[in-house]
Amino acid sequence: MILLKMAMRQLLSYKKRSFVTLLLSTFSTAIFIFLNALSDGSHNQIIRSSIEVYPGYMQITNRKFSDEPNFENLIFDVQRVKKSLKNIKEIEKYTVRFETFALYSTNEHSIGGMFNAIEPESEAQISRLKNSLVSGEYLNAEDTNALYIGVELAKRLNLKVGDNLSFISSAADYSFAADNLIVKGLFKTKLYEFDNSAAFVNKSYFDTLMQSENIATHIVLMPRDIKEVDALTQIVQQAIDKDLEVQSYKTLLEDLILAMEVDEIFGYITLAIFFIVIFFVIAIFAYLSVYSRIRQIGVLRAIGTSTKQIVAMLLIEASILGFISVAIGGAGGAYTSHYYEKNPIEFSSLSDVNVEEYAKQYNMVADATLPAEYNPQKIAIEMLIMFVLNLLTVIYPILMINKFTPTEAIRYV
Amino acid sequence: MFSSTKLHFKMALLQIKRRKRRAVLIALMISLSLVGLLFMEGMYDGMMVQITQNSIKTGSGTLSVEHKNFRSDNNIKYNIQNPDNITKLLDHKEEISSYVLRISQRGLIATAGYSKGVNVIGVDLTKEEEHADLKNFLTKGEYTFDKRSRGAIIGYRLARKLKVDVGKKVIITMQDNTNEVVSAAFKIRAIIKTNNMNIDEYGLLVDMKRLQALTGINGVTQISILLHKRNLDASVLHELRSEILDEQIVIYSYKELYPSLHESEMMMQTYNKISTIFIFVVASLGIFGVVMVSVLERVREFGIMMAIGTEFKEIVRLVMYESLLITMSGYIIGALLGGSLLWYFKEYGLNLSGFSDAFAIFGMDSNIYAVMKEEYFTNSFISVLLATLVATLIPLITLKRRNPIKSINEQT
Repeated sequence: MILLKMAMRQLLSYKKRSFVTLLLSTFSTAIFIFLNALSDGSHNQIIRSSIEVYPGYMQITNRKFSDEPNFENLIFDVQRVKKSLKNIKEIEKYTVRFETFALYSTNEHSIGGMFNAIEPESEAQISRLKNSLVSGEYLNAEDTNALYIGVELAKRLNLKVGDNLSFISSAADYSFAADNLIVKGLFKTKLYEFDNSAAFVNKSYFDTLMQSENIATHIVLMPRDIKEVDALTQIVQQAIDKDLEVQSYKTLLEDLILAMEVDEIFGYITLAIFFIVIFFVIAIFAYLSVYSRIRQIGVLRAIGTSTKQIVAMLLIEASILGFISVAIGGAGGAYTSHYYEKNPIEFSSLSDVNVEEYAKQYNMVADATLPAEYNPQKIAIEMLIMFVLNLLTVIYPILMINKFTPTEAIRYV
Repeated sequence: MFSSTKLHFKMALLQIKRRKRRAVLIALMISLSLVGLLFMEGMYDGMMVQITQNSIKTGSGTLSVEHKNFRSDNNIKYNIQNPDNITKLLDHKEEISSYVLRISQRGLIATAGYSKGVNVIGVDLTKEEEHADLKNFLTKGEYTFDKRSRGAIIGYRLARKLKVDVGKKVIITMQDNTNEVVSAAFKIRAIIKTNNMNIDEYGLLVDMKRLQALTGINGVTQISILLHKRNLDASVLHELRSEILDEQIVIYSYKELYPSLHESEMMMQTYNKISTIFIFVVASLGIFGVVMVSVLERVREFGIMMAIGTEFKEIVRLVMYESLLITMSGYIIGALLGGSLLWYFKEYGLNLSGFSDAFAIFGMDSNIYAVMKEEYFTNSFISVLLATLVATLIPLITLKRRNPIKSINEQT
């Protein structure tokens, strides 16, 4: 108790120094927490958008499809798979797709692009296709030769809602398939290359034309709990035939996830450089604080105070400053993270940067917002790291001061 | 009395020696911050240069000459029909290091069991070797289109998606200049990784003359120009625009074609400046703390010096020398270490091949080469100098207010 009193008195007698240390440490804690929340939030948003625009959290395909994506390696009994999936309560929804390519032709243009069949209603609950409608209408289960097409592809083909075009492609039995289509709706997912190359039709229409009844390239699953995607992958794999395989977004978007990790690493490098200088300033202040009362410490030692008690007193001082700064900085960082999770930063308010141009360049979804991610558990760990860093700053002065004998310390000038 | 600068230096050095631990801490703080700052600036600028160069070399060039409708419509009928008229002009420009002619047409690429959208690019491999360094980007196969021009070079991501390898055949279907659909078979001779998404993900390079024959055009869709110095783009662009009088032809600078690249460069420069300011503002607090304590614990000493005739401005000079000696030694050590680190990464690069695919998403190579600019060192020198002067000023003002001569009496 007396050590605590002495430490408090010491901090109060050097108010300015204590205040600057407190300020720096508070600022570092808040900035550390907020920048990490912002980095996690923006990375998660990029990954989430890339998943939800179209690929989905989990996909079932033929085991050979990823190596040889041809019509020999399809899911040949969709109903059987659907039956198996119905018994798995961890799956919230699923939808069936058939993806292939076609050559689209208008009077003036012929352009190759993705020609995909979807189940309009279940697809609308899994991907952002329906929500990305910008003109016309989304598909429904009764549609026949209606086409739902990306705005950029429509622009290249010079098409608008109601226009006619034709397509030519290979059917599932390798025969030629061709028909006339009418543009029913245009979509813009903000994933430029997707909008530039994809078009969709109702699967029941597609099946009659492409000989793909009960056949699919993909079955896309939406888990009830996204965090349990790894466990669910194993459960689904056990339930479906061995010639099929289920992959989570972690495998499907491996490169993107790795890219976000790399970006995170560079973010940490930048933070580390800022922290070096902040850590040194706090360490210098701790050093000055300890050395300015070396004589006082000498007197304390001379009247019987043990080295351990001196060390404890200095650690208590650092702990008090560390605790207050980490508490204030942590609360500030947590509040800011929580606020910007609910109210993401708008890019337009930051600069004139053209978000769509950026996203197009890196083939990512163009989100004009930068959200933070409020994660109390992670914030608690970050606060603990900052507290330990604060304690580390007094280690060097403590080690140095313990080298003095009481008489040397008293005579120190 | 103490007019000699040499004497002031000697006194400053003795004082630093007396309190060497503090001096070491300050010098260490400055040198380590500087090493970190130089590394960050050099590597981040290196990344930006790499992204820009990858896009420029294999894509637009520093300047790109095109038909005015080609970029918006992407139809091959919008081509430069008489490129010779333009190349004659380019041959006489000293600022131009190289130029190449290219044709680009979107189509459908098909293997035995799969098809996908593709960007077919007609190029002259010999000229591209010098212009875009294409040969060095090969990851597999030979840099050739065969004697009969039946070969093709495919982007590595496209090859991965189509599951094609060197020696396999692909069928290309596309539109010719009369909007008719034409097809041709090509044998993959090589796989290329340029870190330009347009080529890696969607590109198939074929012989330009064969693509001209297939699409029925005599012209080209792009003349890509590289300049000796990238910052000459505005002046050369201005000259060319006044010399090329064909209204169907437009010339773009890479800044217009990749506005986000230019914005990224600008943002990176601002970011580096803000980082420098932030680091040295915080560092100045550390310097301030040490100088303040150092001055206040010597008030009596300064009082005695003034009592025997030393002027206050000489005390100011003495304290300034002390501070500058400490911070500048930190700067010199930091600049030497940071400079050596940058030089190493500039020569040998930072190899992060484990993250190769992740870097490719950002248009970067996995071996990142640092950039070393004189301004890194001059900016940080000015920052250290300013931080020192500002941090020393307040303790000196405090000392003046305390009146050192009076302090002698107070303390005795």
